Amino acid sequence: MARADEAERSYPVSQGSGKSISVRTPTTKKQASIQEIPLEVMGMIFAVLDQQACAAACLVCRRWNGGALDKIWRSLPSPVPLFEILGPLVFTEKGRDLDADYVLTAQAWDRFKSYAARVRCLTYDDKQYGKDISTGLIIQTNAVHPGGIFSLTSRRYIGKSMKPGNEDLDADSVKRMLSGLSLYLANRLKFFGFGTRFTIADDAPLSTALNTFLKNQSGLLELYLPSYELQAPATISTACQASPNLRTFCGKTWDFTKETFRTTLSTLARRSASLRCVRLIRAELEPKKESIFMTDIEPMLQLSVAEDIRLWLECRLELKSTDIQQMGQAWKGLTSLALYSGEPGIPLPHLVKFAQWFPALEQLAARFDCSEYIPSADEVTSRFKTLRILTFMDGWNGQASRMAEFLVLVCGPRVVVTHKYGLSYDRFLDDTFLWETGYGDVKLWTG
Amino acid sequence: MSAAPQVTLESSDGEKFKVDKEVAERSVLIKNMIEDVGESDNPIPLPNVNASVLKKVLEYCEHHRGDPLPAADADPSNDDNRKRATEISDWDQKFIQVDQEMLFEIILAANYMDIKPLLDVGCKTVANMIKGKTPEEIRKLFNIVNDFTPEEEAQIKKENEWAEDR
Repeated sequence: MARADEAERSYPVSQGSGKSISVRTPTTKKQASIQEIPLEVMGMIFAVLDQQACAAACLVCRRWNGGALDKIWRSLPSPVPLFEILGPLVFTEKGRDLDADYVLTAQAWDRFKSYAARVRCLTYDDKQYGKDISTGLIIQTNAVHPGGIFSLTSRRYIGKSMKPGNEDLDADSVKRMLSGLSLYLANRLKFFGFGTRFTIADDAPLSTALNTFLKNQSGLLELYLPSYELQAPATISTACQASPNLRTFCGKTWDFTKETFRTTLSTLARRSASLRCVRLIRAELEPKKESIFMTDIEPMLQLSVAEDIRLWLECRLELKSTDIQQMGQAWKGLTSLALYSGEPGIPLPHLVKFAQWFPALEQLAARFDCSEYIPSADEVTSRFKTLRILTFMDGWNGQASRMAEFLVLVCGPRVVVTHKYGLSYDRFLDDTFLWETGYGDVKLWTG
Repeated sequence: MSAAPQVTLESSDGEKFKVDKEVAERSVLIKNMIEDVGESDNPIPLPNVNASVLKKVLEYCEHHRGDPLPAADADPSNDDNRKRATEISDWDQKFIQVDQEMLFEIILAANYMDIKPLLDVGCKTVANMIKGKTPEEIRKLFNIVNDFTPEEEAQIKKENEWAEDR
């Protein structure tokens, strides 16, 4: 069967009475072939295929190639496949690497660019990909131009490894990769995730490289910096200024004072018209005895379109019941809220206030202080309407039957109540962990 | 109470179909045409859809006449909106059990007439046919000529191998 060319049957859009419509000659009783399906519709077909099927589809013929490649390269789990386009990576004891005498050809570079142009989402996490990913980063991208030379740097594994003996990333390589990628992926990414064990203090040029990279990404919708320990609000500020449509921000701040933390929140709040999801950890080297009050996190109240808010505050969080009202009134559409604070947690009776002031809430996780008293039935003046999961972070103490009674009253019997012990930062930022049910669920009986 | 308003559609081969306006308006194309022109007794011509395909498409529209219309602002390039796997409801599954030519005709008609849910069903069906096959099996299934040189094919295969075992 002959391949249909692109001119094929272009469907005329009829106007008004449809008198002036060109008609496909009804005499050609040609049977439809898949090659007549417009490329735009083929793109919809590839979109529902998995990577594996697309890897086969891109080899079928030239007409299918582009659309299938768009799907495959749209979202990369790591930059490694991209760098493999340049040439074979050989295994060394440090991981995979380009051959020492590798010479970049113009063709390889063109192909690299054509694949890079399809990338919309890029995740880079050395924790998840370990050795594999770090090898990709050894490639130096300092002389990137057609025919340019990729030379290998001497490797400087800086000694900030969490586990002794476990080789860490070379800050230089990360820096170069970022500057290389920001040239060729400028303004294309919608999602960027970056996780390393570096802190900015280790390498100031690294933070500059990250900031430059973010400055060149005006289209970002989601930014994840989960294990990248932000030490200055500058990175957040850069991302917020560069990406006017940012919907998700996820990050960890390290040893911020109350003041710097507040500045960070204010910076995020400037994106209040677009941010839907904010996950932020304020980690401290040595948890201090100070408390966080509503006034410290107040800038977040400007996030009026937020749907998902997670805050990890390592110190004590002092919330008055009027504070809960204030939050509920500010975040009207909030469906998911997680507040983790140091001991003792939010007083349990405040749960009723959450029920009263968060009408759309579906998931709530917090550390509650269950040690004092459990409200009686006539104190439960409100109950949740839409809640599905209530998570107690770091458990509760005693009085199980009275607790169950209270929870049935405030939640209704259909809400799953679950415990999560020993939370780590990663788990806290994890998409699903807080809301997984199963182990540790509490069964509630109505009578 | 008067009977439900009706409209007449005319296929490329001149056959006329009288259907309830509500049914015809599953097609955004027709809905817009009716809005532009207003109520009229003139048949609405569909010069790119022949009678047998139109009949089939109208069968779909009739069955789904009461369904809520898909959100117009759903971004088709958004993965989340497309990701909802390759699930097809039982009725749609039966409906779309047709030969290849008819399947492609339905997809073309759904695209032209702008009936998004039907286009989705068609795309998912083709996707299901592609799934789990080698490039050669796909070519054979759809009667497609391989127009790559062996060298090109080898290179593309090598560059995309990483996606195969994900």
